[in-house]
Amino acid sequence: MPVDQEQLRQTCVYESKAPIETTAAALDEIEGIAAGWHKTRSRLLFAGILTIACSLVGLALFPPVGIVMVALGVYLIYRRKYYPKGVANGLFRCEFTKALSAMLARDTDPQVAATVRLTFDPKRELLSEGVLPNRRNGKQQLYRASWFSVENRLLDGTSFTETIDDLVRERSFTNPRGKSKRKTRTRHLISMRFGYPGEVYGDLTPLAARIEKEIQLPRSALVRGLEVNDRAVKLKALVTESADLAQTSAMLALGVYRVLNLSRRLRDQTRKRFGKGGTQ
Amino acid sequence: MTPPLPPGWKCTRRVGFLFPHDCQRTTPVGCPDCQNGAIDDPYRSCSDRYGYDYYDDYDNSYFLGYAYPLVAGPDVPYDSSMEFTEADGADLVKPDEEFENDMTGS
Repeated sequence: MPVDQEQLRQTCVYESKAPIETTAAALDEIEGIAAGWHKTRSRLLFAGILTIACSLVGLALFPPVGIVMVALGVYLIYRRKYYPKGVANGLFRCEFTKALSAMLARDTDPQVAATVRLTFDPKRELLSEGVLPNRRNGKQQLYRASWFSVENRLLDGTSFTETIDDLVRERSFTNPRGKSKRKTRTRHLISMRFGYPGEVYGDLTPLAARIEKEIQLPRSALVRGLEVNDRAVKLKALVTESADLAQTSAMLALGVYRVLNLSRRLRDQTRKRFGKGGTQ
Repeated sequence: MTPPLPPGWKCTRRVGFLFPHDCQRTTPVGCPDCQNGAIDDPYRSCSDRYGYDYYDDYDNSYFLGYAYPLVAGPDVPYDSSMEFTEADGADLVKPDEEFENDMTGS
């Protein structure tokens, strides 16, 4: 199904409840749209600036033409708003979602629908606000912006959920020269949940310590929380580089599944050895 | 050339990225996993798992100490005969000398 460009332009959100392979195809299309919008925004900005520059000559030679040119230049710059910045600059979000969809598709029934929500211009939720010490007019604000979620059922019966929140720290202050400065730092918080079927994998709780040892991550990522019970594995990781989001997600899932596969193997092996009824 | 396949044939090779499962394709022709039947175990041979080079292999230590707790699943009743007793402990301390010295055994 083709992507509704008008809806994407207005809401900056892509939502789908369809087989994960279909999602990957739609994301290809969005990637093309986003790249196109990015180019158009750059061209409009360039044309607007050029028109305003030429209008100065026009104002000097023939003022009515100059006024029309100024108006045209302002319109061209204003027209950029028609192509949302969030989508145009959100290519990394598209690439991440595509990579994750491709990974999940390899272990998902092609007929099963997955729910994907990708927000290109997420609303920021203020978490805290305070004074920045040792800085003139120093102020610090912390925000959370949720921009991605996926829910999918894998072939082994595991329900997989992943969300990504951006944690944004904004600092503003006046430097010794009297200039206002603003600095922004963004970190990505990946949250995953694997609701595994007990009849396939048993209880993973005795192997909880193994999971943390098994997880390998790129340098820019760090596991920040792990919770294991007899039904699910939940984990959180903090990523500093946007480019590493897809790799981190895949490596987290591989780490968890390495232990799930081990648990399944141990369970099968023990069953074979002692018989299903527990007798030798 | 691939020999003709019987009707209703389904591939039983192991495929998957996170966990192994049956391929279920009806022909190996054009299969991206086994590459037209050239790879016997695509799951094990998968090479794009980032740092997880031996994803399907586990060290023997993984299988020590964890087997018992996993037996006690909902459908496998607890069996007290699987526990060590004092007698087993004594056997471990004093190995069977006769067996060790019997050179006629294979």
